[in-house]
Amino acid sequence: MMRPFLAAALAAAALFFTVPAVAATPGVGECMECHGDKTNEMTLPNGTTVSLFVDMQAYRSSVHGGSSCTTCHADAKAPHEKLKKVSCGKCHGDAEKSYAGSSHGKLHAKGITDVPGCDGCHGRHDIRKPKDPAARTFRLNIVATCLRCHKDRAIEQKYNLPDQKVMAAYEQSVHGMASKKSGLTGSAVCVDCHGNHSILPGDLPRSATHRQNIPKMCGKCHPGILEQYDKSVHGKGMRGGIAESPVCTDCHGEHTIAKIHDPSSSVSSRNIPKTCSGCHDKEAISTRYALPKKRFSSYMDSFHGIAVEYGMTKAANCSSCHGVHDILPAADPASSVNKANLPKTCGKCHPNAGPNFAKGDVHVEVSPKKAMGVFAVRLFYTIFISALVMLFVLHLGLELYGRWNRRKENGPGGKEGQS
Amino acid sequence: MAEDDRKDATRDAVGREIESAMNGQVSGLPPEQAEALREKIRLRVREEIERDLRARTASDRKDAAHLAKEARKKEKHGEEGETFIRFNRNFRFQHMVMFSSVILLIITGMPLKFPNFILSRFVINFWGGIQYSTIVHRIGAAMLIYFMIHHFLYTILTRDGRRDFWLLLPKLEDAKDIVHNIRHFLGKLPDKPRFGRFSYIEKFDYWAVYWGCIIMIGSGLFLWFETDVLRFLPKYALDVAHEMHSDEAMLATLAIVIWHFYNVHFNPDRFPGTLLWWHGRMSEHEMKEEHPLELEEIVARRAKESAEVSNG
Repeated sequence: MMRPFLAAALAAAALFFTVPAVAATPGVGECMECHGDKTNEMTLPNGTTVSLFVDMQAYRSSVHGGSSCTTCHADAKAPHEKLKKVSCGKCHGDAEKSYAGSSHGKLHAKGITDVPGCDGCHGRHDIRKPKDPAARTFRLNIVATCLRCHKDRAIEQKYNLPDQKVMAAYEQSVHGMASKKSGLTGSAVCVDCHGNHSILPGDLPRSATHRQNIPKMCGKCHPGILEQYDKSVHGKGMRGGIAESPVCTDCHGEHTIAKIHDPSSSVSSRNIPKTCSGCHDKEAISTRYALPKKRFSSYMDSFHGIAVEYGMTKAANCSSCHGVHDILPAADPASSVNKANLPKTCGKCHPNAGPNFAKGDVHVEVSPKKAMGVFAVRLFYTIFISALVMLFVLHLGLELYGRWNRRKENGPGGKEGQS
Repeated sequence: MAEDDRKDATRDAVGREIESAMNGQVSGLPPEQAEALREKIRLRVREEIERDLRARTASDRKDAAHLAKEARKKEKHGEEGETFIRFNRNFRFQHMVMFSSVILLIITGMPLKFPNFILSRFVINFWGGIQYSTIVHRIGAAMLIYFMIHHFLYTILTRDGRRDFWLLLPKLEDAKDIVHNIRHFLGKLPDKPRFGRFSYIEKFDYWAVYWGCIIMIGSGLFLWFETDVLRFLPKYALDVAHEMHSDEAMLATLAIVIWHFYNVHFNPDRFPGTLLWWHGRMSEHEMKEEHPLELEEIVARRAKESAEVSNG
């Protein structure tokens, strides 16, 4: 599992530093005779210099510090030639098995050197328990560990990975801020969503970040929300295999997840109409699932929509009436926008809302069928305003025409404007 | 020059008077002492006189300048003659309350109708956001309601109000005036129609405000007290009120901006406007131009009154 250059280094070290052989299995002290020397290094065939120094102190405080060198380097003698690769799977069989199935593991097995092996994330002689704040795999250090490779432009391009901006966005997200700024270990870091040893790209159904697995994955930390979502029309649709049915990330984003009070959040008061209408304003979706149309435009025409657009966070947005994770179709008697429940729903903001709140559409579509009164008033005023404006303009146009004519007759400076 | 001569003459006369008065006072004193005292008194009195003269000439100059200005004005607007009070103080006050409220209502209301217009966000933010602009809108609404009540009482309770109301009612003459005016514009008739106190243009303005106020205040109160209204009416009634409020606002704004502004401000006779709304006065010349029938009536009434007075 070691990087080949290390293996090569050890091999070369074995060739160059010949220490008299004494025993078959050397103790730690014997190894350190050579490997305790800080200046001990070797040059690889390609010209790079590699240190052969092993920090004894770091090794002793590591999780494996109690063992001897030969626990991992079983074939080590003093002096030794090129050693075999260390096999972590000898003890950590489960981890090795799931690693082998991951994107990293598959590439690593092909001999590609720039994907991490065990040591890429865990380190070598200084491996610590993930609970240890000094460990590379400690929750607050994981982002830095992953970003060592995933911030590298060359690697991104080579493996067609998302742009580093996506990774940078995580640090500004609610999860990133909680772990980085507030130092909370409960906040989600890379491995909580993507998995650790078994990491796979999101388009594979086995991946933790595959669409179908996302609610379950987010529900690990947000179980109460998952319970609500499962009962909602979106949750049912998702379980029924409807591809368009939104999962957590469709509304909240992935690496960009922000608090709802953050204006940049896709579910903030100002942005939620746009987020919902990303699907609900689509002709194809509303036709296929027989949903009412013009939900966005009719909302934006209402006072609620205008007030939200002007930054009044108190004004009702989509979720104020329809609910958030527990959205149900209006036909469902349990839905907050069922006609029977509307007075209660409106009453959240309009105290003493009565049954009259439910008489008439909330999303007013101005058409003779849907809202005859509004349609008639609008039609009347359209005609009335156009006619009046035309008469105004005609009257004052004629007046100016008359003035101009008389001015021409009387000459400039004449009795213009006077009869 | 003449002023200076007069000043000198006055000064000399006063000087002689002082000399003679002083001679009585200083008699009996030694000559040096007498001369010193005399000099002291002389200086003090001179000072006093100078100051008085300075003050008097300053106020004279001010008066002269004022008279000259009046004369110039008279020369320039010689033909304007007498000034008439067209709108009394009460009426002017009503108009000011109304236009302030309407301006407030339009600038806080239109951004809600046109949220995508480029200035809308600026206007709303000017008031500190929509939470505050809606309060300003309600202040404007309260002013307009006050105006409506004030005008209603004015129409019922005052003599001028009652008279104007009758004169503002549309009559057959107005239809004739419209036809006449259009033919005049087209050059078919040489003279403008002869209007009374209110031309059809002004009558239209007046009744447009009447209609507008009733619709806007009515539908606006629906929207203001929506929860209370919804106790008695279904939501679709409120939707209709909302639509009326929005559309009538558009109509009122266009009527003001096109019709009223043109006829009062941008009309070449008036450009860039008139202060009639502030002082309420109209010159005889303007009266002859715009309200000849009213002027005739006033002249006739005066003749009758003076005849009555001389008879009595």
